[in-house]
Amino acid sequence: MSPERSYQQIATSLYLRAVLPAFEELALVSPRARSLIDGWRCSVEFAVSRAGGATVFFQDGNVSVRPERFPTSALSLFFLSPLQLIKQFSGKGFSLPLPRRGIFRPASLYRFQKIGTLFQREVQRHPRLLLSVALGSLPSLHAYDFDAQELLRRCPAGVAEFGIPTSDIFAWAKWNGSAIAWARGRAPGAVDVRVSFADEPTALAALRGELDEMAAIGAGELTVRGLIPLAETLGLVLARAAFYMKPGALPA
Amino acid sequence: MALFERARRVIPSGIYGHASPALTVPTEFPYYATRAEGCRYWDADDREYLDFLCGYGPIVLGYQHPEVEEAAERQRRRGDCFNHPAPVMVELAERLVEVVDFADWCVLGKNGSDMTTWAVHVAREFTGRKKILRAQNSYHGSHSWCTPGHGGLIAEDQMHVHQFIWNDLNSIEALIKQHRDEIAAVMITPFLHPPFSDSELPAPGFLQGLQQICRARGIVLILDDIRGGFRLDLGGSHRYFDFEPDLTCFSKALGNGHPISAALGREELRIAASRVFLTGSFWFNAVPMAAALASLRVIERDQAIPHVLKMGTLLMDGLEKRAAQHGLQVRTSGPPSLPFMKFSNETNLFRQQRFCAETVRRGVFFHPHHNWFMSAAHREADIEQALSAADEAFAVVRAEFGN
Repeated sequence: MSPERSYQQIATSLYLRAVLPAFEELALVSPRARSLIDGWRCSVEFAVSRAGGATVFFQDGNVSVRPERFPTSALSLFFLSPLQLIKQFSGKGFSLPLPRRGIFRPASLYRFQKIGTLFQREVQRHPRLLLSVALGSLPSLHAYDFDAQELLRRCPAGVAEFGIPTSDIFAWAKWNGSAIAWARGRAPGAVDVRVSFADEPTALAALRGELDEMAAIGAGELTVRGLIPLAETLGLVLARAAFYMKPGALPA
Repeated sequence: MALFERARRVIPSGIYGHASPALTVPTEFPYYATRAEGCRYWDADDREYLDFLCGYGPIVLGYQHPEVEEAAERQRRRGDCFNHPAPVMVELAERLVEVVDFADWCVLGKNGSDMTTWAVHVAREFTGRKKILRAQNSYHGSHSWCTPGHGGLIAEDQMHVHQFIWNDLNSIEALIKQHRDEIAAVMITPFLHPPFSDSELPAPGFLQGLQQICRARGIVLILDDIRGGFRLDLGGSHRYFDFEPDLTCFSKALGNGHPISAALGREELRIAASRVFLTGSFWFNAVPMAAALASLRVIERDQAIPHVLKMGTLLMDGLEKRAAQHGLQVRTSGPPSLPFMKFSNETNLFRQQRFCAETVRRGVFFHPHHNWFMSAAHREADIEQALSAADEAFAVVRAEFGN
C-alpha cells in the first residue's frame, strides 16, 4: 500500500472510530450542544466510499455513535473518498458534504452542522473529549499503523487507567498482547497502571502534546504508578494519532 | 521540590535521562544530592540515605574514597586538560591490558556509550559487514543505534541492529542464517539487566556457545561490561562467567565516580581499531585516568570484589528471609554484587514501588525499577540497617496489598 493510501486508511479510521464517538460526550461539556441535542431525534450516517462508515444517533438528549453504516438514517452523508472525509475533519470548519439522504431536511442538516462546529471547537478545550479521542484511537492504530504495531509488540499486557480524579473523568485501555480495547469511566477490574492528571489544564496540555511530561511527573502534576512500561508504550502509540490528525498532517 | 521547580524552567524534563524522577517513585524519592561519603549520601534537604545504587554503578569503593580522591587531586595539581595526553594514560592502558587476559590494546573515553558505539565501528571496520546483534531488552547506551528512547530517531538508525532472545542460542543462529555473511558483531552484557524486570544470569553454556558461534563465523563478540565490570572479576566479567570476547567495554566502576571508559581488544583487531576515529573534547583529561589507576589498585588490594559479592549475598538472602516472615513472595536476581529484588507474585509494580518508597522514607535507597549496586563501603551493619528498613517496608506492603 502506498504511504498516501496507508495514511488515508489510518486517518479515516481514526476520524470515524475515535473522533466521531467523542460526540457522545459533547453534551457533558457544552451547554450550547446540550440545548441543540435535547429533544432532538435524528440519525446521521457517515458513509465513506470503500472505507466503511459510522452512524450518530440523537435521541432523548443522548448521543450514541455506532461503528456501522445505517442506510436508513434520517441524514446520510456520503464522502466520495477517504480523503474527502479527512479534509472534512481536519479542516477548520465543519462543513458537511452534500447529503445523499436528508437534503429535504435542511433544519436537521443545519442543526447537525452547528453541533459539528461546536464539537470542533470544544474538542480542543475539554480533556474529557480529548481523552475519549485519544483512547478511542488505540484500536485503529493497532489495526493499521506499523509503528504502533511495533510498539505494542513489545508492550506488557495489562489495564491502564487514565484519569483526572479532581474532575471525576476517567477512561481505560486494556492490551492483552493481541488486542486492545478501551472504554470511558473507571476500569471495572484490576488496574495495572494508573495515570493521573492533577487537574484539567495539565490533562489538556498532555493530551494536546504540549506538556513536558517528565517535568510534570517530577513535579507531581502527572502521576504514573504501577506498570510504567505499559503507560509509556500507550503514550507513544497515542502520539501516533496526533501524527495523523494534526492539522496540516495531510500529505500534499 | 523548589529546586526542581527552578530546574524545569530552564532544563527540559527538569532532570533528564536515567536520573529522571519519573523512573523512580516521583515525589517520594530524593531528586538532588549535595554530598556523599562511603555508602551514604545526603539530599538537598540534608536527609541521609544508605545507598544501594552507587551513582547507578560507578561507586564501587564508596563515595569519596580517600586514596582515589588523593590520586585525582595529585594529578589535578599538575594539570588535567592539556594539548597532549599525560603519561598516566599510558600507565592506565598498560595496567588494563595487564588485568584483562585476552586484551592486547586499550583505548579510553568518557562514557559507556562512547565505547560501545566505537566497538561497533571497529567490528564493522574489521569484518567489512554492517549488522549488529544484541539481546532483546539489553541496554548498550544512549546512542541512536541502541537507545531505548524514541524521540528524534529515524528507522535507518537501527535498521542494521537485530535482537535475539537472551539465553537462546537458536534465536542467534536464526538471525545469523537470515543475515548470512552480514553480521559484524554480537554485543552482549554478561547478564541481562532489563529495567522494570528481574535480572537474568546466563544459562550454562550460553555465553560459551555464543563465543563458539562467533568464532566459527568470523563475527566479533563484544562484551558490554559497562555495568558489570569490576564488580564480578578484576579481569572482566567474562572471567566470572568463563568465556572470552574479542572486545570488551568498561566504564562506571573503572574510575570510582570519575568520568572514564575504556575498550580493550585482541591483537587481530588492532589495525581496525587504529582506523576508527575516536576522540572527544575531554577524553584525554588526566585526572580521571589517575583516579582509575588508583581505583584498580584499591579494588585489587582490598579484595573489593569478593567483598561486594559477599555483602550482596547477605542483602539478597536477608530480603528473601524478611519478606517470607511477612508472608510476602519476593525474588532476588542478578549477581550478588549487582542485586535486584521484585515481588514475584505481581505483574505490575505497585508493591515494588510502595516497598521502595517506604525504604526511602526510612533512609535506605533501593531503586524500584533498576538493578542495585553494592560497594566496598557497605559493611554488615549497613546491610542490617537496610534489612531493618526493609522489614518495616514489607509490613506496609503486606498491610496495603495483602500477600
